[in-house]
Amino acid sequence: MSRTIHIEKKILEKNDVVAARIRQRLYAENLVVVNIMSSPGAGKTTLLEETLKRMSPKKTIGVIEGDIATDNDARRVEKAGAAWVVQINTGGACHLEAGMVEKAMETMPTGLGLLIIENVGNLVCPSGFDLGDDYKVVMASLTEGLDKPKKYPGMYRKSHALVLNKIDLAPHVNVRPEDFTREALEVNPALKVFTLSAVSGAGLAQWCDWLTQLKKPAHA
Amino acid sequence: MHELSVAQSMMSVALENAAANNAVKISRIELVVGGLSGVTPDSLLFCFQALREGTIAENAELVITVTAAIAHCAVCNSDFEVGMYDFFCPRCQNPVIPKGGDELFVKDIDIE
Repeated sequence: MSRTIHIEKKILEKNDVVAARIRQRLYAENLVVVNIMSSPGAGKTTLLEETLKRMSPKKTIGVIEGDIATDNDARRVEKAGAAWVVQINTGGACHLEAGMVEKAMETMPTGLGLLIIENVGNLVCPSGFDLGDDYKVVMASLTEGLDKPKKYPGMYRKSHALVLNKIDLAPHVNVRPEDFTREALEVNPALKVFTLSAVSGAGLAQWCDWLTQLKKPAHA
Repeated sequence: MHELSVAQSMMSVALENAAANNAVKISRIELVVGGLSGVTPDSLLFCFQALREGTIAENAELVITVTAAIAHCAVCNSDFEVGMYDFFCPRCQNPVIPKGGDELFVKDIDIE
């Protein structure tokens, strides 16, 4: 005989349970976690390198690197001054999940001043998985084109901040930073926007100041 | 999007609940998918058809209900449905922030 079982259970609940566990642990350690997401090639790793060079003398920063393959990024950020780095290779998966982050954190030392997660380069899937982070940052580069915030609204809606990179290329591309910023704010008016060039260094100081002053949000 | 991960999680939710209720067969699984969740129903169905083989859900029907996101315009005080790319009030073009539409859950299953 057939019967109906009511479930009403979130499909990604297992991920959310692990994310809540990470948040609980890091709340106790008062460690702020920033999750940086972008399409491949936006400049996440270069931004991290330049951020670490400027901030690591004053703040001990840990980095979790997510990539489908290779440990190139971990080596780069370690060289730039990260106090602790772990490379996650997803082996094909297009995003990080909370379980991968929790496992990576097994070797994390106590006393870090900031933890940055560099997600797998992808503008779609990473936004769907809570990693126990406090602040989500979407990064874009001017060369990607003006239409991206509205084409990938999920990522922009869930982020606290936007880093618009490669503004030094503005004279060579058909996109003005202020137009891109406007498009992004139309998708999410609450975004804190940083326009910068990780290569030239323009605008990096404001980004680093923001990272420096971030506080652990009130415990949920 | 990550429909395979979503389909795997959905299957484990359904199979765990079926086992807890001593089911020998799952004949139907009903999901609620928000219109802004980024999950594509057709792609989810494709992944489900691959994953259900050899399980007690082998002949199950997958029913997907897509829910809309609702937004409120503070300028003209109206409520309306918003689409994936259209976060503006249809009357006064004011930008709005949608509420809901990101649901993703297993509503119920039919078991025997």
